[in-house]
Amino acid sequence: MKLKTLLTAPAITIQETAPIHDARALMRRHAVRCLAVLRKGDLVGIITDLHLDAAGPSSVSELRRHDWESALDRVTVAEVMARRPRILTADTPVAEAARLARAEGLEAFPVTDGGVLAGVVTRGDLLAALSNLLGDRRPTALGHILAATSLRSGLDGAIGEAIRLASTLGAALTALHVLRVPGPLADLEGATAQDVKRVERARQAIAREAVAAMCSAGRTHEVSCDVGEGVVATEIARRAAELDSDLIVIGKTTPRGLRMLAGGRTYADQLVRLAPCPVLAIPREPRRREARASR
Amino acid sequence: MRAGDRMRRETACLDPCESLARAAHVVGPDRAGGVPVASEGVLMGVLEARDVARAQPSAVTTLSRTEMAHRLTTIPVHRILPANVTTVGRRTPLTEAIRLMRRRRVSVLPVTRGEELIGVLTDDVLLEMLAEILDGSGDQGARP
Repeated sequence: MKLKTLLTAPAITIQETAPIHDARALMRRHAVRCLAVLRKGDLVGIITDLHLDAAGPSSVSELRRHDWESALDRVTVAEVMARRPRILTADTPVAEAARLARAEGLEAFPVTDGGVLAGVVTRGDLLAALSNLLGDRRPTALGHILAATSLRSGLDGAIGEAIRLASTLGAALTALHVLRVPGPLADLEGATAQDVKRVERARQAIAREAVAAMCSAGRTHEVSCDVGEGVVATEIARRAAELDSDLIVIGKTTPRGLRMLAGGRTYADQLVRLAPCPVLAIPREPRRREARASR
Repeated sequence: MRAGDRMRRETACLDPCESLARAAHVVGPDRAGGVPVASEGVLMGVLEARDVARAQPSAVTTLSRTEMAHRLTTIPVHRILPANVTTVGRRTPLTEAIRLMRRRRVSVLPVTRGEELIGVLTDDVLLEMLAEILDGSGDQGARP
């Protein structure tokens, strides 16, 4: 595999005398992070968004105070670019380019074909090539499923459904159990901070084991288990965002007790409002009703 | 292949109280690398080269070289640490991790189990892997 195969678009170029504002605008317009810099048609350097970030006003207030921002208009590309970039030819093997990028810490390099600038290849392009080689074997866009587990009876259907979905679609699955905070023991009278911590640790261990047991009951392969703490729906939504989940699977109860009085919103209901992705609610298994019917 | 198969367990972390000068030294001058920031084993975030670059005085600063160097040693890393951090689990597929790296424009993905940092996946490791796969397959692009 040669670098040629990674060149999808001609290099975006800029003259070295151009102000850096123009470089930024050009990068935005073409959605690229690296420009080839020319002097009278010859390649003399490259400029990346990192160079522009370093040249621009500081993000720290006490440093920005000393930045002479009005003079930034006059800073040219030549003053901040990387000179004498490493240039590769279109026939360079991709493997060699990847090694070079790693060894020399290159973010991007210009590629020439027959002595003419043919494009710029970035680390991102190399990573995309790797991704293609690994093969995106996911038949759908569901890469990650988060299953919110519950230890309450009748709600283990959710994890089963999530496991079935994940193995059918080839998605990664994380089973998450959220311990509600404040927990039942957090405000134990007379308990020292150390006691509370010990109890918390025990609760976490029990929850972890329970989740692991549920997962192995579904006898599946690729499940990671996780225990979180916090306000249940908020914590599930936060983890889903963090893991970039594409779907949340959660068991749906009928609200009871105080929550029934508070408008009857279950965790599943709350989650739908907070979640960064679609939520699949699995109803409670109608065990009780069946029992009654058979009577 | 999963993130856990390629993560580096031994991870050099920065302390949130270390100085910007030290961070700039670790991240490197022209390098688009990143480094995890952790306090007593708890992950606080990832400092990317971009964050360090943005914190630097501009090209037209009125500070002298010595003043600048001094100030950089007084500003702690946590002042410029981005609030959001993208993490993956050990089981996250590599293709998914790469997608995240490109979309979020990060070079380091901390691999966590719960809150605990168990390793990092870097783009350097992935580049090495690309080279290995291409070499091993006689350039055919095998699917491992």
